[in-house]
Amino acid sequence: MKCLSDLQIQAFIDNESNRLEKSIHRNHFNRCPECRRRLQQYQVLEKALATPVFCEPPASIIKNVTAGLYLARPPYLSISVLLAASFMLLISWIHIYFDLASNSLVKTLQSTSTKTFSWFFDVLQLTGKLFSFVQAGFKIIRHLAEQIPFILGYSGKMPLLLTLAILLSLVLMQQYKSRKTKENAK
Amino acid sequence: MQMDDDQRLIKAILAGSRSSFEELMQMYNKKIFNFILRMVRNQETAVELTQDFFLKIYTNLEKYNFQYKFSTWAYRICYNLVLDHIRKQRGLTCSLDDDSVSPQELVQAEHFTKDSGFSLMAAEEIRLLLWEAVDQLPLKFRELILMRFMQELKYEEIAEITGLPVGTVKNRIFKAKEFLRAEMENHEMLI
Repeated sequence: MKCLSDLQIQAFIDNESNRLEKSIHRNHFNRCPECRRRLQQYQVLEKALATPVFCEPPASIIKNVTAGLYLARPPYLSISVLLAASFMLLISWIHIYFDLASNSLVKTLQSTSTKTFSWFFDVLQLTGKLFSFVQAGFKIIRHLAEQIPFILGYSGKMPLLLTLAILLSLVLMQQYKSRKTKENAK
Repeated sequence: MQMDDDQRLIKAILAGSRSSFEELMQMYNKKIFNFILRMVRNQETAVELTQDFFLKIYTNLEKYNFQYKFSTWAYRICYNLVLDHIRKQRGLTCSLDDDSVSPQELVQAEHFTKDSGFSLMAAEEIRLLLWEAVDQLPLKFRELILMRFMQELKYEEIAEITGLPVGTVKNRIFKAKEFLRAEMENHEMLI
């Protein structure tokens, strides 16, 4: 019988050949030392391939992936901050329409509700007051900001403005001193 | 439907368990990293691609179909990721599918250092040198050897991942083993 091809030997190892082929090949291996040698070589090869040489992956892989996932899915703190911001935005819009700090409905609900829920209206009113305060602050800032072009426009006349300011403060100081002396005399 | 360990972990991940995803990463990290490392032959790139793979798995997990094995789905993602990277690097498009190379041509085309002075080697030395020889195989053979022996996949699973017919997968693996045997014999590692 003709020697077996490499393909036939591998099929024999992989159990890919049928029963008849297997029996023929087995007989051939018993008779042919060359094919037997190749069979043994393939068996050694198969064994060595079945136990791969693994490198240990760096620990940074899992660490970096986990860090990446934190970006992909925000942590609970970010979610709560987002919710709080949305709540504040909603309240501010309600405040613009209803003026929570002095709204009669809020006041009535606050006085008539049970202790269990009154805290909620307290919070609403407090938020309203806070918003009024913040609004007032923003108004001041806005007015100041409106004055900036005026001040900048006069920047060339700054020495004059400074002199006027010094003179004004001197007059005011003089007035303050005279008032003090009058008070002392009394 | 009967669920395996992987699928149970995926259910937990989809329900929001981060520790389950870490467990899944621990399970696949070694095999995936080594597969990629032997495919790209560069440690830094292998680390980057392994990270990309896990992030891709996480972001696409909702698309996973529980009727199929998770490992096959995951290895397909990994395989495509590596292939995309190699294609970008080399700019090759068609040579991966060329099946006309003979093992003799492979021996002539790929050389690795010959270390003479021994005839019969210990099994461990054979194993180490054989896996060095695997690294020298052309990509289209190497990827299949890695899937078959490193990922321990069946021929049918490899065919599903690579999109090749099962016959081609078997033929290429046989060819690769033929080359490896010839190479080991040439270097007097096998008697």
